[in-house]
Amino acid sequence: MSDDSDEHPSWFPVPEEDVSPEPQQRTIINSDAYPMRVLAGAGTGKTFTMVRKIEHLIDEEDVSPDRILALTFTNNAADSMREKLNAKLGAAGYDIDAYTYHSICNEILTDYAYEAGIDPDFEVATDAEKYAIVLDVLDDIEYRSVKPNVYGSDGYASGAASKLLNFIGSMKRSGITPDDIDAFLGPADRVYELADLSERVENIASDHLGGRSVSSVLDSLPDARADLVAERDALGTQGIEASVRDFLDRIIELCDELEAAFEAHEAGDQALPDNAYKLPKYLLGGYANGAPKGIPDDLDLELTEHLDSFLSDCLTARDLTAGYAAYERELDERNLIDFDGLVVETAALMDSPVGEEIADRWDYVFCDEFQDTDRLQFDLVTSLVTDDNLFVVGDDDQAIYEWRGANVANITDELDRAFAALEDEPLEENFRSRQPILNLANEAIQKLDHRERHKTLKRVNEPAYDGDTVATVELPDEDDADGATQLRTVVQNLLSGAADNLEEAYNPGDIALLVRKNDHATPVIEEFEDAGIPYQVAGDLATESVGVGTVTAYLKALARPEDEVSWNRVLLMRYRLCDADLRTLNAGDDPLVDTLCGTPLDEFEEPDRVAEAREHATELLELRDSASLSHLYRELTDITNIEWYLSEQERRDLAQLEDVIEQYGDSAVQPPLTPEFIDSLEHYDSLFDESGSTPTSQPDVADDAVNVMTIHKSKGLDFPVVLIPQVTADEWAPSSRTYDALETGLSDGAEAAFAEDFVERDGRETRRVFHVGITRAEDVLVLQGGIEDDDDAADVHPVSEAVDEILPARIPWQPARGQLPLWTDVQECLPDDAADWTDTLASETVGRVGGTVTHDGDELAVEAARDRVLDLATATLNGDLSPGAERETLQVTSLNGPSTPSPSLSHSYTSLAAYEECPRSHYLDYVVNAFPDYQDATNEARDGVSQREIGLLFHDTAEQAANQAVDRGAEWYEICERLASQRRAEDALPAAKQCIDRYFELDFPSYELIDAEREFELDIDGHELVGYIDAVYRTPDDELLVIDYKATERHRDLEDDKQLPIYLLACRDLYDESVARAGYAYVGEIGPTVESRTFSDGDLAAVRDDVTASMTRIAEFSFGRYTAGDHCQWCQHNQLACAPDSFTVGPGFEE
Amino acid sequence: MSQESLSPSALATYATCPRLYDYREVQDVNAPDRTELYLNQGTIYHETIEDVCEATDRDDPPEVIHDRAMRIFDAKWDEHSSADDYESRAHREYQRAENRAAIESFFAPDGGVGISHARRSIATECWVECEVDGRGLHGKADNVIRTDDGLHIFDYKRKTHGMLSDGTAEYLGEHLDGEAHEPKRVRNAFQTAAYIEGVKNEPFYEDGMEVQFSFYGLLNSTSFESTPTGYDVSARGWGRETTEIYDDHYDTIWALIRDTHDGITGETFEPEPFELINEEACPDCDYREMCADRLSTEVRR
Repeated sequence: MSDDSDEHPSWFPVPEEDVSPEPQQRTIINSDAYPMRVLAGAGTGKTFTMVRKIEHLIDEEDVSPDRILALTFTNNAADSMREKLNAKLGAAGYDIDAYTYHSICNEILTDYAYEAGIDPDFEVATDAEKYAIVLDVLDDIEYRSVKPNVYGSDGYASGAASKLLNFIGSMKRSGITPDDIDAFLGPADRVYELADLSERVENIASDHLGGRSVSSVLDSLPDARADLVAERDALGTQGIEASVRDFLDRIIELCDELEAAFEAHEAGDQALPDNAYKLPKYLLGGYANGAPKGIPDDLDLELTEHLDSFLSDCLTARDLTAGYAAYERELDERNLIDFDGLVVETAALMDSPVGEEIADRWDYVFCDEFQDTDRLQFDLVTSLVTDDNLFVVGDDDQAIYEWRGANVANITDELDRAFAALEDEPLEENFRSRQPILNLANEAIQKLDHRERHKTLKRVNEPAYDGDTVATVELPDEDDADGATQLRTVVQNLLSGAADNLEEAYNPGDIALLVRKNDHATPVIEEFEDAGIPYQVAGDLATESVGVGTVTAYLKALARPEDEVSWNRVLLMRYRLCDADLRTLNAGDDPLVDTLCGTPLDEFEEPDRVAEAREHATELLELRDSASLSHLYRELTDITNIEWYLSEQERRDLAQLEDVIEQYGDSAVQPPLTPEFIDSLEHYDSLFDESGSTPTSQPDVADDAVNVMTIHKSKGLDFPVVLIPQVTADEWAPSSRTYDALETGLSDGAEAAFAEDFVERDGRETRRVFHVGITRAEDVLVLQGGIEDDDDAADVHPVSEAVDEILPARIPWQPARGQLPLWTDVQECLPDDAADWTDTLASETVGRVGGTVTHDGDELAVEAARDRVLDLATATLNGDLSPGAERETLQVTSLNGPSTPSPSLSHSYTSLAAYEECPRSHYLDYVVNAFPDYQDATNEARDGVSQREIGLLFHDTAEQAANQAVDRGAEWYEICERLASQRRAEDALPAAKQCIDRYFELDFPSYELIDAEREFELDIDGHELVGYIDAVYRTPDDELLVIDYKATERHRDLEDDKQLPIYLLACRDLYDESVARAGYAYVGEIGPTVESRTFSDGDLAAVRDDVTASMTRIAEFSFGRYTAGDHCQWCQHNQLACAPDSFTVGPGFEE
Repeated sequence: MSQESLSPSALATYATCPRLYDYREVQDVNAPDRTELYLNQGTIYHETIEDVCEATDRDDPPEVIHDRAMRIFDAKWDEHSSADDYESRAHREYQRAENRAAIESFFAPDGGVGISHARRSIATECWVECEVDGRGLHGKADNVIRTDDGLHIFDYKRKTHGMLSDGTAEYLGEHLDGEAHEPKRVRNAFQTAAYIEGVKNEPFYEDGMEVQFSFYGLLNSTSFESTPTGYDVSARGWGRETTEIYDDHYDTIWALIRDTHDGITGETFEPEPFELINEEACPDCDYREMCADRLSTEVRR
């Protein structure tokens, strides 16, 4: 699996592979036409092209790197761009100013704080700080139509604080200030006078237009029109009144059209369907209870509703604006700028005299993902551009953040308007998806009316593939069936790969389940659980995590020691206290903490556990008031080693909590843990559920589990197989948003408020979301969907047809607006070779799908097996398990799910060495991927730095140094420092620097470096052996020398060595000349020294035979065999009975 | 069988979830403070009604009762409402307006039912006890009123939505059978039983008296009207009588009482049927974060 921008962790430098740009890309890279816009389709390598173009400027055009500004959305993307340029250009790559749209603002404001009129020590407000401010300014809201309730039955979600926060978000993103809103709305009295206007229009309709025939309604239309005109003429021409006036204008025009149509009908020139005479009253909202008989329900055209909702938003805004203004004042007072404020302030600064000076810092501005920029960011970019040297890439078909304030027109019309000389270059050659997928994507996006530019994606260099590419699955007929079992079956089949329709068996990490909304994922995840299919849920979908809950409970208990629920949670889940001991602790009137600390240990059944809990709690409670929150948290995790109790997914989830902790507090010195912090955590979720869905964050992707995420999160990623569930009109229908018309009226002028149908606009965005989903797939795209009975698009109601003809162009709302017959469209657009898997791969499994465990002669499903394990464990605890019986042996060959069809193991030198030392440790670490034993944190992690950390740091430094052709110790130091800070491994830094010092005492720095961290893949008699060679040098004697760095204390015997011969065997495939010499470079404490030797062909052949024999033996892996010895001290499982008693310490470093 | 006397709310806790009873009543685990705001508001309107009833004579004019009520409400609000309970002054003021409107409507001189509740009250905060089949129950009745035919007991609530009614009385049997989870309505049935039976042991009860029981929702209907200068709040309440339901479902209700009473005295705290309880009770439970029964299902996932 890979990623458009970044397939490694962000700290990892990835030199662009030696791919030459394709012709379309080359044209763009070499062109010196500016300003240039590249509308690039999905998977066409737009970021690649942009990076290459920057490279070209520096390399070929001699532009100084620091004259180039590159802007993108995510920090990951900015880092990755810098790393790529750096890998290619060396240190110069780091001089490029690669920023996110927000971080450039932060930078500029810091540099020009004085000119911007802000305190240079300003901080960016965190979500928690914004929340705190909103609570502080609640009394500034002018409550008239907004209820003052801060919380209700559903917590904070619908309360005043939440309303204010959302309002500020909507307005600020569009650069609308409280003053703008004040000016637009005018005094409250006036807004209230207007507030019942929609009702008055409806009354006009019901007073005049209730006739029972076309002719009688025709007779009264002029009266209705006259009343409407009178209402209109009473309105002013500014702000809210201009918007309302414009609405009435449109309605009056509609009356004219209705009159004309009815006249034509009376004159016999135009046929009208039955009940057409009801239309005028209906369209003007004159019927109290929706559509009358004869008018289709789904027409959805009671036009006064739009006026009504606009006016009700205006009433809300009238109340909230004072709160918004107070929020701004409060930010200012606390010397904070919020995320949107960064851009607002910077845009204002760029408008000032100093703007030009700032823009002069760069000659070229490069922008990625431009379709996601909002109005403010557009202004910012244009103000940064000098001499029209602007390069913009993006894809209007992938604009899916309009709902967050992005302005899609930025990349089309707005750019045209701002830059007359704009050059367009296309990028339509796709390198990702197979053509049938692209055909579907191309066809489906054609359904998008108002599409600005038409791109047709075409695959280049498509590899041969034998299997279905686009497959559909019809949802089952039953009501509210979610079809989750179908997808479970599909995934099982994909993993087994046995079906003829599939070219290969896929790994779980190859598959992605991309959902429109969270609800679509839940039932499928449950099926995955049940089937034992590994999956990983990305960021914004993360559900309640038990492990994180326990960590949070620990913080709560420390913050409020009287919170006994949290203590019980911690005692149960971390210290595993038994029920009897918990009851002892809860008994009596004393607070639980006092009982925990004061009760004699011999009153407990498991005194050791209670003692540990007591010791930890005492220590942490003492620390609580003096330590900063972050420090306390670090001590908490260190002392309790609580992370060990978490699953990998839970550890990932914990990172979010850690971010919140890091961000807490607004002064230089972080406050200690307080109950207020706990409160803010509690309300965090309900208030900031949106924050996970910004274009500025991207999830980590699992390579060993099915990735489950929203389509929004999947942007920029791709997967061999993509499944999109529940593609139906209902499930994908866009929901309406508040402040639509008001926000538009405020940004684009009062008369824009009713110029567009926002539901229609959101429908278009939904189609683009679908497009993004489709284009994530490389080989196989599985779409699951169905048609609801009522979205049969075939028969259009005659009244709808008539309305369609009558509505004037100035009425933006159309019949059946917002209907999104997605599945019907999919059916129409399907390529000829699309497969229907409904009755095949979605209904039965083919081949062995795994997911079962054999025990005691039974083949058990995952859930049953889990229960069995728990029963056995309980029996062990209770002493009820009779030893010696066969049933204790659990055949775990399939425990890690269907992902590893045995015995297709991939070997490495490390795994072979592990096997040689102990087949059991190999089995645990390389076959079933067992989690490590519990380590007592007090022994190792607290004082020592992991040897492994040091080794990794040195190796990665050496590799980056090689890629950047850096050969001075100081430069190595720099790389090392940067890596250490990126991965928070500062502790390991001194030791790693010592390794660097020792390295520079060796001869290597003067040798020619041929290769570093060279990956290889050896096929030996059908076994796969993979690895990395640290370095290959050319010695002054013109001999190639393979070197493996050792940062450890362990010395290797070259005579008996197998690692180096394996590398030499690999070199036969990698280099034209023969390589016979290899050695170890010791840079750890036993160095610096190099020991190398020559290996003959005979030596290599012997090792090859040896290794082959090992790999063949490993095919029959088992838990049963083990060898105890010295190596047990480094084993992650040395608390098993097989290890000698002396080694019960946690694992050390073993490369 | 134990002679232990239990309150309807203790029984209802057990009916919600036996483990909840274990944590809350047996182990007495201190849960973090829930918002006190509605609790304090309850105190305010209960004490207001109590004091008005105490101070009112049979022939006091309605205006006098009304003015007395408003005066007492204002004092009670100041006494029991704490600014700490509210995130904003505006929120507190709004809640005060709502509660005041409810009292205003209850004691409205022109037809507020509170007028007769006050005039005819013979006991407020009345402690009652009873025992049936050896199971003891006790409780405190908000107000006992003398009617033409006997006694009418009132329990004052914020709202009566979602409480026991003719249409929902059948759920009691389903709860008993483990087919439905209806602790709130079961609680209403327990209250009805405890008060109707309990009041018969009071000195003011005379043989042959008809005994009625009603819940009264003071804020059953509230309306919020927005104006250019602020907002107006009004409230209206009404009662819900459960006497007849008690008669019609007497056996079911007492079977429920026996089951829960015996569960508590027999110290049986396993949550059964677990799936139903997990789905219905766990999401709002104060002890969900520490509950081994719930966590074990989460961990398995």
